[in-house]
Amino acid sequence: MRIRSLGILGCAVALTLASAGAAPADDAIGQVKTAKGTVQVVHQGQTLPLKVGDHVFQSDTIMTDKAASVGITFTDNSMMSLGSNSKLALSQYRFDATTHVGVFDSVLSQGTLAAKSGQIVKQRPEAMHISTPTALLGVRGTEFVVRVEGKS
Amino acid sequence: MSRALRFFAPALACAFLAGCARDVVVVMPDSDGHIGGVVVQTGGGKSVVLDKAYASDTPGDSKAGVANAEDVKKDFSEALAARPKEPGHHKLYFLNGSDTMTEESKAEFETKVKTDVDDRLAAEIVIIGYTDRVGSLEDNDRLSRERAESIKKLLQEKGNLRPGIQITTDGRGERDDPDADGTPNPNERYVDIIVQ
Repeated sequence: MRIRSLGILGCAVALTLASAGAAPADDAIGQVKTAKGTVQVVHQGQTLPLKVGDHVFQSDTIMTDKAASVGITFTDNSMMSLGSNSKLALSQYRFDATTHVGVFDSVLSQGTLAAKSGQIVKQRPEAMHISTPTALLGVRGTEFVVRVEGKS
Repeated sequence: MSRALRFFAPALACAFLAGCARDVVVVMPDSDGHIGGVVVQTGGGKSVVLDKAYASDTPGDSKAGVANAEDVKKDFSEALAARPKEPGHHKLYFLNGSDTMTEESKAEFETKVKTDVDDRLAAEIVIIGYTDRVGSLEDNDRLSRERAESIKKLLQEKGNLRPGIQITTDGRGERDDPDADGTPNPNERYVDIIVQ
């Protein structure tokens, strides 16, 4: 009983740290390095503010407001930054730090993105995909920009 | 295949809708001037390979071309300005059997390592120590950890560490030195510093 409650406490602490983004969680896939204006993340159904130093996880969706921007470095050294009024879903991310084998799939549904591929693409070209409302981008390397114009 | 379908679903849906978003992709030269490539696939099954500097495609219109570099810098100024700093990799050398750096590495700590770390608002820094094959395995494990710890301490004391900076250390002793046991080798007395 005592051990079990300790376990739950441990879980609660881990969850608190993860949602606050203060500590590096084992399953974090990247860290926020730059942020300006209102930047938010949808993490496990909850919308939370995202700031410099916070970690991001697979299945998170990153959103920037008017005049906002954010830059994230992922564990494979790939980097993504968003301009204002942008929305990027980190659908799938796997990276083996030893073999460098991985996949990185994301969806840019609106806004602007500047990206640089990392070890995942170096190990296997086109293991990184970005989908937009009109196309699927297979990344061979290394730097590129993407814009999705909102419906007006 | 289901994964490919899932990706194409929005694109296919879009093909039948009027007033769809208009997307643009532009390949940029990286900091070394190297140009990679992006394969653009659209719902119609067409694919275009962009592999030249500022090669550009508008998937909705299937018009590939070359973008004007200045226009790209302007149109994407917010996202480009928000790019994180490139990850850094440094190597510092130590005196024989000691966790004191060589004079050259002391200078490099000030001019390169400290400045790299000070510039960052958030980073995960990993410091891994190594030794040559003089001395016992246990002593070298300890020495390698002390070397890594000494750099961490120096960064904490002399650096301007922001709250988003985390440092972890480890020591791998003499394991990665290919020399015969007992061989003195100044090139193996070092720490690797990875700043991400």
